[in-house]
Amino acid sequence: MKIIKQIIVLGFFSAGIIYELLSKLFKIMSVKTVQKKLSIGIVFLTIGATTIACTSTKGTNADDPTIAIAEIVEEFKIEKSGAQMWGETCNRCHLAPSPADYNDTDWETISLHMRVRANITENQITKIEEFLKSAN
Amino acid sequence: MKKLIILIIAVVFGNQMNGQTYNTFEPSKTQFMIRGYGHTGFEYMKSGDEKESTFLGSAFAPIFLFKHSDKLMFEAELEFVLENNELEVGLEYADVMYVLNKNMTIRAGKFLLPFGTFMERLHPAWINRLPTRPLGFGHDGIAPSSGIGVELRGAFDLGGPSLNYSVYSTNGPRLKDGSVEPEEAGMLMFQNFEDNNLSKAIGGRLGLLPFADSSTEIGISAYSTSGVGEEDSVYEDIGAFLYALDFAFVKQIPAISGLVDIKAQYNSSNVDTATFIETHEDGDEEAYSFDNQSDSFYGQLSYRPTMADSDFMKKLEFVGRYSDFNAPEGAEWEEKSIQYAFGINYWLTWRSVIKMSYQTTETEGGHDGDGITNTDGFFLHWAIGF
Repeated sequence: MKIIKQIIVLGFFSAGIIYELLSKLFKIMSVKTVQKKLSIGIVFLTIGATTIACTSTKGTNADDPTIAIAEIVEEFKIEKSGAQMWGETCNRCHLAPSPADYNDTDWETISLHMRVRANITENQITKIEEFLKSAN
Repeated sequence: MKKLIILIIAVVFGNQMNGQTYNTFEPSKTQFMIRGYGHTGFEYMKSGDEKESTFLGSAFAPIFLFKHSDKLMFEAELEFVLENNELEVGLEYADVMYVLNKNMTIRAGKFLLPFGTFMERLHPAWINRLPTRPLGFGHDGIAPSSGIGVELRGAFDLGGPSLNYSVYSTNGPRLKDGSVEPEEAGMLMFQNFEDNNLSKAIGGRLGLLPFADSSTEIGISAYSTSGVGEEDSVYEDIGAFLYALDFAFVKQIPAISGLVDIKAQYNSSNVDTATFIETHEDGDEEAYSFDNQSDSFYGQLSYRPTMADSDFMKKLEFVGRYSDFNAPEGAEWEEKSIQYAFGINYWLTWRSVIKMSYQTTETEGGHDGDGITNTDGFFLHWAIGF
């Protein structure tokens, strides 16, 4: 359910952006018109992302054990280790860091910094941080 | 004697109490850390008949991280560069961030703009695989690198794939009207620390990692403002719309015993048409305008034989990059450039690299004149992150 919500909102935003770009590319509209429409697209994204981010689905799932179990099973299926995520995620920009190069406290600081800088999901950064702290 | 005994007792017990206090002291929630990077090197350039070579003074970019709690952090990066026989100091970014929830973080201050990925994630010397930036970035580039404002950003797990987003509002760029530098009339200047009008820029980036292994990312960015000119000037209502498309693919491929890294980004800048004044040598003034559209592109491929038997080979990296830049026809800064760069890197550690590269650029127009200029360069750089 959560994923469907996310896809709907992202679909809205993506459609807005793609429409803007196509409009610009084919030079159908003036710059100012595009600016106005882009504004609307960004407003859509902001509202959509805020709505999703601020909506907790825990209560809903807790009431329905079938959904809760299905989600746990789904998460179990795609579960990746922190070590695997460390290799995949860090390498997207730079070589994966050696866990031994910083202590636990430093890794906490670096993880928060990188979570925001590289726009990494909470799940990924939590597991990567746990791995780095366990392996240093 | 009595006073001496009391003094000794005070010192001994004082030390013990101090030691006990220290031993039971819990780690502070406030964490401060200095990270950053630096680089130095040698460059040889040949442009037409002109040749020059120089050792480069070290560039030093400390990053200050102040983690106030698990959600609140301040980050800042300074940049010290020796240029034109002077020490230049710049504030790359300085912002405060707060994690609102697992999918959203708010940032405010001067921050790197997510316009594509190169300037936000890949430009630091120890990350950039070549010693130079692609065409279209940096000085006189068309891609904005940082801005002062506020931003919301975050990422979502989509059950394997993931998606990240960013939306922001900043002071936006200011238009160079040619009154100070006539040869740059019509350019956008993104260093707009105090806004020159009431219009703000808005922008954002949407990035999709469609595969569970995070190997591929496709991004689309947009940046728009309805006013880039000075308040109450004839350029007040000149608007601008920029967009970028970016692509990344990083994956270990056993069939070729190594890691392949592909990066690409296309930037487009569209500024409303305006009229500028050109002053001739005899003092006569002439009004002119042009279709103010620029674009640039770069594609980079690198390969590290990480699964090779030899330790030496594992530390090598081979890299090639193509980039081009097209500035508007009719502008004083009209230019068409194409650049090829090739390099071999040797990774001493995961954050320290020696880069050797050759680069050739063909430029038609630009600051150097109307003809075609070929510039060849050889670079040897040493970069370190810390």
